[in-house]
Amino acid sequence: MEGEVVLLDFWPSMFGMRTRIALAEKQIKYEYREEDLRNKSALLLQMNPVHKKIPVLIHNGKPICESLIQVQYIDEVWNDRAPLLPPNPYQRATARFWADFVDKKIYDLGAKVWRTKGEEQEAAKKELIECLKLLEGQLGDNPYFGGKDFGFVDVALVPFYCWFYTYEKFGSFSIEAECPKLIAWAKRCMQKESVAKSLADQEKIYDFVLHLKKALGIEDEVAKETVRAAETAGFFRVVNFMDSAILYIKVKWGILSSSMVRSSCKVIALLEGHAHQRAQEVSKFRL
Amino acid sequence: MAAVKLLGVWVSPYNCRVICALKLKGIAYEYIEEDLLNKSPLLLQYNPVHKKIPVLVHDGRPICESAVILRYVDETWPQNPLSPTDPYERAVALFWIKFADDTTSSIAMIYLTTGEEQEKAAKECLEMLETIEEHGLIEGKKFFGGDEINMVDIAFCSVAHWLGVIEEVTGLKPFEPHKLPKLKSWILNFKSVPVIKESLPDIETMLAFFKGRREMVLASKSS
Repeated sequence: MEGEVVLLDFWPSMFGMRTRIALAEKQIKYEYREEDLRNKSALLLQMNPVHKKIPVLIHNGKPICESLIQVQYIDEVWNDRAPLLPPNPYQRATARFWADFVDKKIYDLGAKVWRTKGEEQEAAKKELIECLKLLEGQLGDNPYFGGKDFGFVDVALVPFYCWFYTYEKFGSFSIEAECPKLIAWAKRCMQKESVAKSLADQEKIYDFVLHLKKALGIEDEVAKETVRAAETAGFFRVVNFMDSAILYIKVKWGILSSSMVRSSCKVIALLEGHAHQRAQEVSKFRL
Repeated sequence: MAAVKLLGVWVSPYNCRVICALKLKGIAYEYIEEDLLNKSPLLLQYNPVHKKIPVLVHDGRPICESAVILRYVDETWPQNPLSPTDPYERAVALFWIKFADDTTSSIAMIYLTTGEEQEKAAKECLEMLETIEEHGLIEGKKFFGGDEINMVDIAFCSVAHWLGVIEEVTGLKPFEPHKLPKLKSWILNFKSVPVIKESLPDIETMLAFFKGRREMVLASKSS
């Protein structure tokens, strides 16, 4: 039944961590392959041609993409141990709803907290805390979101715990002060071997983000300058200052369709001289 | 007191997904039209987190988010199954339902934006349609579900029915049928299913609605 299981992943990805936890919960042996997002493997591009993102779970040569889908797949195939979703359809719907809520809100808000400053950052911090409080409310007095047992929503949310330190450092706030019950829940989950060995070290994540911010910071300035020059020269009008740098990156890495390539040739000609090196830096770390 | 209620908005593709599923399974339900500018206490009570439609209420308990509702309906009422039984096929189906969510949003962006933003939205939409053609639809398969429609087909109702209306209202036509033949066939097949025909909102009413919406968008951008 087990067959061959491979996980294409990137160590700081909270999405990859979800799948690692599920595999560990079910005690499935698998091969972990670290992807270099600056230099995506042929296997990754072949197994996830639509999004070209990690994590990708490969079971007996067949790919499953999207972390929550992977967790559900693992739960269904290895259904003889450590169930993650409850048997009752209404409870399953509730679990899926809250996992979807985590997906819709937490990643983007967290990213805004470490990427932005001033009003934008404050707004993101406020909304992030509101969302975490809602989740805290959903947890109630239960030890886990799954009730007395660790379950689907726990798997969906707990990987963000190793990113909280980064959010807090950049945002100058304490999540524990605002959501003590949630942090207590996270620490409880960390006592489980499957969680402890799947989450990355929070200080390493912080260092990784520091490095990434530096790279993006330089990128932003060069992109801005280059685009202003293009605008002045009359090549095109810019809606978003990052557009042309990203357009260039997308064309280079073959993500845009051919009709878009034609219209962006002038932009490329201009950027060719300047942004080649910088463009590589920006595209690297999209999780 | 109906056991199954659906709180919805007639013009929403997400709402339509649920109607298609309920009708395909022959489930009787009470439909409650919501006014999103004046949300009912019932809606706010049943979906306090997002305050959005559709909301399915079964025996007094709410289920929110159309993709979650589809799975709940399929698991609770086993007749006319709407998802594959094989776990791998099911994982593939879920992937495409998520992609259908993204595609539906991108179609809406076309009528919600103007100028370069709108051009960008149309390009993104086209890319998604090309992806569906290349990776989602299989030559010779009538529907995503094979010979019968399933929840993936239902999830893509926005492509089958809303896209054409938005194109007509905005004048932008990202979808060129001759370039995406599998998608073109799928749309024809999907819209030919009797239950689907019954479930899709009337085109003329939709055109009038979106024309009005588009005028509001243009007015707000120019002021």
